[in-house]
Amino acid sequence: MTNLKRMIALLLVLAMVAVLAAGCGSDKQAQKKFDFPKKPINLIIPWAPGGATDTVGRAVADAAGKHLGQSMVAINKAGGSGSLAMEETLKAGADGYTVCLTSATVLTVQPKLKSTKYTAADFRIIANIVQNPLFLFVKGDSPWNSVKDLIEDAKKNNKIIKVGHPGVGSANDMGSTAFFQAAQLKTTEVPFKSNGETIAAIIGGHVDCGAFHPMEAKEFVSAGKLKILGVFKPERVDFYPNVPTIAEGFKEAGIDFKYKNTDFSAWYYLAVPKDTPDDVYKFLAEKIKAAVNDQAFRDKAKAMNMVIKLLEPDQIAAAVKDIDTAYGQIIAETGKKGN
Amino acid sequence: MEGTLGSLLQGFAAALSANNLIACFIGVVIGTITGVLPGIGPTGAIALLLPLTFGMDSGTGLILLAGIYYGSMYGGSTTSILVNVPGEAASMVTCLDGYQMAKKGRAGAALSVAAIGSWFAGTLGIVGLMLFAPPLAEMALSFGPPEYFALGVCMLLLLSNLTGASFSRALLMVLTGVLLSMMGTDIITGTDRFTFGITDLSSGVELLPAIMGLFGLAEVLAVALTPYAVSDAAKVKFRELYLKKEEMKRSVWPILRGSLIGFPMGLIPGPAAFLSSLLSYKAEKQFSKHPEEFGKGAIEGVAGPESANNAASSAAMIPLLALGLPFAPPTALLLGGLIIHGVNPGPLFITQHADMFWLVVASMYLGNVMLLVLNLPLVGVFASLTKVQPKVLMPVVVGIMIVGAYSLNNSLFDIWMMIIFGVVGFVMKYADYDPAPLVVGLVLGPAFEEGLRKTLLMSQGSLMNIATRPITATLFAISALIIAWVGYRWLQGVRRARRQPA
Repeated sequence: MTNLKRMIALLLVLAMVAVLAAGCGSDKQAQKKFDFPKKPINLIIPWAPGGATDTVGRAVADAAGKHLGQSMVAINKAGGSGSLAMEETLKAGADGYTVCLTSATVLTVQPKLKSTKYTAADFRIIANIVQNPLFLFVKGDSPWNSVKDLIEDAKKNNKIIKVGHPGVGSANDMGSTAFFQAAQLKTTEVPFKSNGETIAAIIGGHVDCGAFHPMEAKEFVSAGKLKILGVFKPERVDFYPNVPTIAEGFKEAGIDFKYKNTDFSAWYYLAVPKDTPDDVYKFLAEKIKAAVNDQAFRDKAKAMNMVIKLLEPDQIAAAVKDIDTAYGQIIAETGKKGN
Repeated sequence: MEGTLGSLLQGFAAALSANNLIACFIGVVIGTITGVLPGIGPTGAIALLLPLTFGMDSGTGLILLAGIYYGSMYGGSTTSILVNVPGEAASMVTCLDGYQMAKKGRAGAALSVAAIGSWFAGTLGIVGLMLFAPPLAEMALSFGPPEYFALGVCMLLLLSNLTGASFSRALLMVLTGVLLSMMGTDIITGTDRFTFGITDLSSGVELLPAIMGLFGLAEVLAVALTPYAVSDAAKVKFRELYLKKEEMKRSVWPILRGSLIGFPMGLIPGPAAFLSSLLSYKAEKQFSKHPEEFGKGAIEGVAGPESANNAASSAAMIPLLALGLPFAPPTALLLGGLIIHGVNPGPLFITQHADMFWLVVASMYLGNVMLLVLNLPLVGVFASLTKVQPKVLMPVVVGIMIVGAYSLNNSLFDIWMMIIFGVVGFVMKYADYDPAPLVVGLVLGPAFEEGLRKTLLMSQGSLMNIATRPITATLFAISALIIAWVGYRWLQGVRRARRQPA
């Protein structure tokens, strides 16, 4: 008898746990007439808290809250190199209440590397928020002072260059892969969990080089711990006018950089599922642009060494297509593969 | 030295301003709360409060956010001790003896020794941070993939039989943990392994839902089957709520050893606080004159690990402040916060932003004292929870665990993971399998696998660079000694058995 009671109690506990878990799902419904937004808007960030993308996302959510008339809530959904957040956004529905922060690598590279439940075509980009330029770095006391030094030394001594990056298919990985593929040098790629760990590995002498954004790396340059060899852009950047482009470096070494017209900078976009109603999309696009133009946001972007250059939708589409083609070529030629 | 003292005094002068004191207090209170609530960790709390600090002075903001971080290490042990649910991963090992102490009516003693040990270790960690930050940070950089591999091997050998039950059972659990750790995206190739097409699984088996399930939920299920009577917990006189003299005497060395183990562990990337608490537990068991008490409510098993994880979290501030390199998720968030405030911490931070560095150091001293003062009176409140009827307490605990699991990644998936691990843990309990080695395998699996594969990548397939790197060679020498020692003991046992035929 008591045993039966105990079994019932146990079953009850299990049932309660299941009910509670099931009750956690969120309600989603489409809005009919335009009184958007009626409730806070979720911004899904595809990475864990901390780091460049997360910092940008939080800053833009903060600024957007002032313009949208409702707050924008940053929610981190890390996993699958960003793809989990994209799938969650699509699942949440095209009502405009779920917006995701994304980048060209998440949108275009991940679907090429593995079987994701989305492609870039499933999204409509609201606005380009900031651009995070990519540079090639080596250790501060490295004998290489230029792209030419690196290429010539590696070729002459038949060196295998150890390249660090914070994840297969990241913008950093794509940039450095493009570099060594174009230079036809032998490399070993050593992946780490974050930019911080990768930089630590270069400074500690465990790997030879890596591609990073200035937000993570510039303090190490001022302290002499890291050295910049070049920028992965068609033209030089304002804040490092003396840093040559990678293509310039290749030219010095007598090679034509086949991606010389490609901008490898990481663009951060806000996007919604493609079926989002037009009026909601336009409203969001207008307000997000206003938020990006907000002085407080501009100050934060500047502190992070990121570039703000708002583009029109067709320009954004062209930029995404451009980098998609370049990434596709790099992946096809190096045989980078997930599953 | 005089310069240090002068700078520290200036730091204190700044930290004692009303604004900064309030910020520090808010930070440590929130930290304690996030520590107490299982699943809700410092990373989430810092992320949530970051926008609040935008309006503050950058130093004040950093004081608040740092307070949450080290404050959370204080609260983590509370639920481990009271209901066998670790508040943070680093408090898992506190369950082993803390919960047993609570069952014997010594919850108050366990909670107070955790608070005191945390305070001592935290403060010692700050002294280390203050005096040796730059050279220690440089040392941390010499830790590359081969060093991780060696550390993984050494730790697996040391920790595989943490609780000292049947060796084969523990080994089976460690290997199960290592196998589970292989799920998710392979960091080297980017390929998903064993995910069965479930995107949620691509980030692997999350540590905290696994621990909360294996320990907490399993315990709740066990209590549902055989509820304990509240009167089991003997009435405690106020005088005996805190530490008895004998308990105090037994805790002094564990606290000291725990601090010394935790501090260097905190410098390196990875689950430092978690590993340091396990290592401290193992050390205490080894040094103890009565190892048979471990797992049955030995106070050393609470004092050591809780000191170790706090020393580790103080030390984790060193790579952040001295180099600008965050090696733990909460410090990564602190870095992000600083950058938004326009302060870019890097190798020159201590020299260029000396005032801010000393302000933070001073605030950490103050914060740790506040935490002690805050936590000791709470001991009585928390300890009285053991008098709550299980049919009231347990559902509340389950509710909090579900919210906590959800809040980790805002994901229902983690709740299901916790429930699955809960049922598995429940079955293991009855089959007499210990969950701790499984978690050890889960944590050390990646360190071992990634370390080995990266080492081989770096050396083009040769294992020679293991011998040529000093730290790696030392760690492997230690591992060899452990194996030799275990082998020797085993031989001794065999000989003794032969001499005395049964």
